[in-house]
Amino acid sequence: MNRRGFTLIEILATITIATVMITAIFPMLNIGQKGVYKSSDKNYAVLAAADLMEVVRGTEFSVLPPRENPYSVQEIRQLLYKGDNARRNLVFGHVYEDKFAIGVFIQLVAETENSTNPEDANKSMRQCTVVVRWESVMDKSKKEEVRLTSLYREHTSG
Amino acid sequence: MSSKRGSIFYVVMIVLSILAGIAGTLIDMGIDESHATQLAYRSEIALNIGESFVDEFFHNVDKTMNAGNSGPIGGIYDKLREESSIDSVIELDSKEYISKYLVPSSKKLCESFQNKCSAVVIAKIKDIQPLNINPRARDTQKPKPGIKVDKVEKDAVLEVLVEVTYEGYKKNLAVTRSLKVVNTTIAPLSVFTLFVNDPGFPLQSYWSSKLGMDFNNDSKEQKSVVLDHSWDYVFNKSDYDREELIAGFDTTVMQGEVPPGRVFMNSSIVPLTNGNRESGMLQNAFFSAESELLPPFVPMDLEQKDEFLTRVGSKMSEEEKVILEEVLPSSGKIFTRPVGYGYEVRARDDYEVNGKKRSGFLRYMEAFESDWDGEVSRKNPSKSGLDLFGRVEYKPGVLAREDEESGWFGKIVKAASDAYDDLVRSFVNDTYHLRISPTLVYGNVLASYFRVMDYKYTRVDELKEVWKSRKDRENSNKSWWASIWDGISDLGSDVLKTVKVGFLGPGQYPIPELPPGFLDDIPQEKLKDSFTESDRAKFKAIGWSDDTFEDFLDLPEGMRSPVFFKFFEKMRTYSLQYFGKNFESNVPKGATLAPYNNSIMNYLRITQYDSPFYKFMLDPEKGIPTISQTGLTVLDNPLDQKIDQEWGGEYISPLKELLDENVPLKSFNPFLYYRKATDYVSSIYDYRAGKKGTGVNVIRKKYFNEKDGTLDINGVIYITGTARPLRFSELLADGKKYVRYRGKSIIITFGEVIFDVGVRKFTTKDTSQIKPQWGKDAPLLTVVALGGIQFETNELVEATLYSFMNPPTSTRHFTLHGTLGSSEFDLARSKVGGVVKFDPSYSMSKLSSSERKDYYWVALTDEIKKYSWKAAW
Repeated sequence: MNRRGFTLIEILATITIATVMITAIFPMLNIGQKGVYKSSDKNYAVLAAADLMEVVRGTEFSVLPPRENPYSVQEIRQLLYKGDNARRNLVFGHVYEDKFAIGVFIQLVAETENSTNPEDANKSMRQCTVVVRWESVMDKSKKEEVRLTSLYREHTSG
Repeated sequence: MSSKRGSIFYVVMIVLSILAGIAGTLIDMGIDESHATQLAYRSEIALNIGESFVDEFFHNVDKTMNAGNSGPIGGIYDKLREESSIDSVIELDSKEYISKYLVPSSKKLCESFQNKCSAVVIAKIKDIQPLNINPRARDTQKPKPGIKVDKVEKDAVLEVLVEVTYEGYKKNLAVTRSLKVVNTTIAPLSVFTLFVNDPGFPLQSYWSSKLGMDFNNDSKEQKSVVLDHSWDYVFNKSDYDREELIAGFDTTVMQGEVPPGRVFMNSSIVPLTNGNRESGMLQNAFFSAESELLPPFVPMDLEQKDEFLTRVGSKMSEEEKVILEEVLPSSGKIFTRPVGYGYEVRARDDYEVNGKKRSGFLRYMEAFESDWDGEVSRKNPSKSGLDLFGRVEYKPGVLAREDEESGWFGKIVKAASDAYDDLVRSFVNDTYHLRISPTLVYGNVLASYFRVMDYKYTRVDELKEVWKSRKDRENSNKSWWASIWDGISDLGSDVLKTVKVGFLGPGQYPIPELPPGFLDDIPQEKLKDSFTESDRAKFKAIGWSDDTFEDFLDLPEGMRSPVFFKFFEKMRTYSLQYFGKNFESNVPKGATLAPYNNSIMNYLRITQYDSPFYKFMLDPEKGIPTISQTGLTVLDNPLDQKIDQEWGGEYISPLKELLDENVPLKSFNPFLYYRKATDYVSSIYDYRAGKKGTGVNVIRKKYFNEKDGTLDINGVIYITGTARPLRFSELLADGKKYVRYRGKSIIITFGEVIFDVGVRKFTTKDTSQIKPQWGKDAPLLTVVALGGIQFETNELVEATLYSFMNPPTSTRHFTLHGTLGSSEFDLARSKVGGVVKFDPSYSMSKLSSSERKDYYWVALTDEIKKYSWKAAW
């Protein structure tokens, strides 16, 4: 009897064990991978939100007046660089737009009681909330979201 | 080979183990990534909340610091306007107040994260330094003596520390920003309306005044720039009685509240410091002129005169009292009156001013001059202070129209025509409180007037005898005494005879000077005894000619007495004595001696430099004034001398420096030195925006409040672009005729400024009732235009204006309520004239320190000096 080769039992046992183990390992691989993707997405989303927040902060009040509906990135881009196609792409990376649904809420902040000129909305504070949403890699039916909120005032040159 | 059996198991297990390892690693990485992402997210949230706090803090503190002292954190307003010591710190230490009033919205935002977020805000104002405005001391960073620093103005740093904790992630933000407290209503050195700096001697004080008339060309139509002195502001009255006016004048002078209408000329360049009076006065102590604004003719009895002199810081000398009481009793009264400083100083004969004849004062000067060719020097009357502002054309019949709005001259004439009869009416008439300022005087000048004493001599018969004996002498016309007698004879049969005995100022007197010690040997009891023929040898020994002595003998006895000479001797040194031992206590704050008169300058405008008077003026032992080799009149003065002495030579009078040709004119302009901008505008128009070719007015865009149509402007704004002028019509609200402004601001532009529409304070509604205002609405917009200022409107302009490099010009009869400062003023470029109605709101010393605070703007610049953050979790 040739001792070389595997017995059927060996093969069956190995396959069984391997199947059991692979069944256990592959979801782990998938989870790990999705976890990385998820984090990556969120990182991008946070970056996108932070970047947009800076864009809004650096924009004159008159360009982005407060309103109920959120501004889209495309809208902001158009408002910022009217007719300036060369600069249009600089305002905010398309990479974010392709991946995320982004809304920018601009709201007026009520003046404090020691305001000298409450009617002067242009010189009041504003609140900007950047909401970035995307499809969850874990569950396609769910949406992930990051939300940054900040108060800001108009900065003049100086 | 049983050992090889089952090896597949091992192989598979190895592979599976590797897979398991990879899976584990991926999961671990995922967890780590997730954790890192979460931290990054929290960090961003915390950072944004922190920035919210910072932004809101600066936003609110910016307003609070300039919004008056109302409200619970009004203390910041006050504290910032206190005189601060170097490196002092102002803590904004009430966390409750900070949360409630400075960062309420950010606090709400933080709270909206439920219990995930908390924040702490700490703030302080530190590194407080007075603004160093002395360009000579930049090396040491310490102002040199001579230029005082406005201690309210300061550089500082506002630091805010915010600690935000979000879901255990802590973020610390530290942001510091520059903060400056600047005076936005810059009074030009001291209180005066129009500051003219015309350094060339031939152009300044170049006689021709005749108190408001262009004597060279009576037929030529000329318009005036009228300076309204705002006495009604100062006294808050619409009518005055005589005593009140006299008393008020002196008090006002002494307290540095002199109504404006003054012009400084012949300064290096507008030596504005940071708005405090003292420094300015130090640099301009030399300049003064007499003014017709002084009570033109103030008859006083002995007591009144004593009181008058006491008020002005002087006193009646014993000798003077003796003269008045004993030597020449019942001879009449002593009058003190100004003599003007223009043509009248040179006039030999009577000249007419507003219908009144006055005698010129050349006769007093002639005692010191031989060849005089006055006509030559009368060719250019264009630049004397008097001439600048007093040139008005007399229009026959105008008096009949005096109540008409346009009847300026009529009002002037009416106001001035009865000067001798009624002092009050020389300043005020029934309908209009008009003060013209034909001659332009002082800063906070002391009443060291250029005085003439008119001595009313009532013993007519005695004078007639004297006159007769003088006429009998052939050589009488050659002596200077003859001139005096001519003057007396001109008065004809007037009941009152006036001998004009001039003690015109320091060192100027018509009586020949007696050598030192000449009178010392005369015993006290003999002082009242007149010199007689027996003294001829004594006088001859000191150089008097026989003719002079004989003329001298013609004088009434009392006027030949030693005590009379002693009186004059004292008067010579009057000013110097005044600033004697009790210098500081005698001199009101900001005041200076003003012994130097335009008339002196006029007089010194001579071609014969061997004039004894000229020599006298150059004699350091006697004279105070000196003349530079360049022809610029530069006058040393007791104030400078005193400071020089006190500061051990550290102080160099700017006037002395002017003497040195190697020292360039100090053309420093503190505006450009220390006024850090809160905003720079590189171009008034931004052509990248707006309609093609027209652009957008940046000033309007930034500072125009479209909602209420007001120019809402605060802080220090530099306009560096000169391509287009700052034209106020471009800041006009739709449908309005004038620009309204609100706030405390200085606009410094390198270009030109054109007032082609009215410019009014927000609070000014009725232009016919323009009045000074104190408090937070008071500050006038200050405009410094290096490219010059032009008026193209006759609408009211309310502002403090400085027109550097170019004189202000006008194409319409302008009305300025405020202040006009210029390096030069040329009526040829302002032919239609105008009115400058001084607004003394800021300058008046009666303004309390709390009210004065409203003139300082705290400029929180956008310059972030430091931005740092730390994170921890």
